[in-house]
Amino acid sequence: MKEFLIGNANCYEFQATDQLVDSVLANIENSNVEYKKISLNQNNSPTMGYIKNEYGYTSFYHQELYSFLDECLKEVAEKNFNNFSLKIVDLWTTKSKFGQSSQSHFHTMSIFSGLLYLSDCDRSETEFTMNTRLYDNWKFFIHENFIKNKEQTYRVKPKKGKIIIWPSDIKHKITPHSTKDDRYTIAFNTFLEGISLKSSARINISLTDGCQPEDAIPFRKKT
Amino acid sequence: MNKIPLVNSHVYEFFIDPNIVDEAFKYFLSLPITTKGAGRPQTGTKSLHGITSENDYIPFYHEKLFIEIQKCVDLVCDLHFKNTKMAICDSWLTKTEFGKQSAIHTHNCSIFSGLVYFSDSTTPTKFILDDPFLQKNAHLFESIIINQNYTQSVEPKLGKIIIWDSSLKHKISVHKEKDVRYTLAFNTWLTGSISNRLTGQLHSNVVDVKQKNQ
Repeated sequence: MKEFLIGNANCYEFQATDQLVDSVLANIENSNVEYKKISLNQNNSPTMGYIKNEYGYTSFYHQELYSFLDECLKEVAEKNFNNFSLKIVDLWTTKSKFGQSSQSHFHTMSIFSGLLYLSDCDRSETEFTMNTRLYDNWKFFIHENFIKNKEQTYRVKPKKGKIIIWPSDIKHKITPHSTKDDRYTIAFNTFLEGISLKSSARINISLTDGCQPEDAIPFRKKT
Repeated sequence: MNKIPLVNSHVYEFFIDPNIVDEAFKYFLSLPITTKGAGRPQTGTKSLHGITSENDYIPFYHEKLFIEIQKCVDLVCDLHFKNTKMAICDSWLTKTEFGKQSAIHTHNCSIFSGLVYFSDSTTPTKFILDDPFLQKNAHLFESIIINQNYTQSVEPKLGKIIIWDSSLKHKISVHKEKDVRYTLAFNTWLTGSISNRLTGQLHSNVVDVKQKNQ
């Protein structure tokens, strides 16, 4: 695990093997993945893929990948929490065609989010943005045009097998995809699971896994 | 000059049958309770953290009382969340003797917290909202800003339940009565199908105090 900073937030990088990535790609091609628009307000946005079944849309699931991500998240949780683990609650594929880009967004219902890049891509990066403290403190006093560098940006270049994990409230977007080959990634969200025995803060949370088919199906069935 | 407070946080107040509260209180006091000091040692309030067991403290639970509390929690939940339930995940007694008070504190691992008052008292629960003007400008004008935190006091009354955002600072004021002041405090967390939205699905299963007592 490598650590890097976006603003003052600790983020993490891992590397999956080519063999695992190839297996995931093959699985995507052979599964009944249905692609939907990420943003309804943007015509030229990438699409996200879920498995379509009789209960609706279920998270994409690949056992080997899931086990690998679980190991990565154990390390991230150990760095950040006492007695709580991070569990994947949602996982989907993204597909960007030539010219497509996403609007800046963040992930709700999630503590840490992550991305696995399924191919190298020189131009279409993931761009994270955080407002500078100066801008945050003074945006109501000074016209924003007069503040240079109001946003700190951090770009991640897609590389096959690279996994990045960041706090879910950091805004990010996909910059325009400018090559002919489709750009694929796996994105996922996590939430805290565990037991706190601290007096007056005792809690025992378990999560229904959004990815394991046997759990996801009854979950979807309820709605 | 009129001063109009702009406050967007609420303490929700309910009243339930005092007989149920009284019955629960007598039951709680009959239990083998574990006592621990709450907060900083100098504050003096005792938190009674449940029934002693080998591995953990079991939260306080009384079926009739908690059915009533859950109804109040459900109403608050419906005001703030769509199609989501909150489970009562922890509960404990507080005991405040003459001359004691609690430190200012918030509740961790909780969305909304609540209190059930077991008797009438003039010793309030005091909520404190920090002055946002001071927070924004302290680094510039600290020496000339007069701190004007907003406070709101809630007076204990038998059968009264209050519920508030767990991140709100609060304290028990100095207790100036001879009778010991008891309350039941509780925390909550979201449970069930919290979101079924694509890229935001979350389904949590929180062990509530009833399950912890089984």
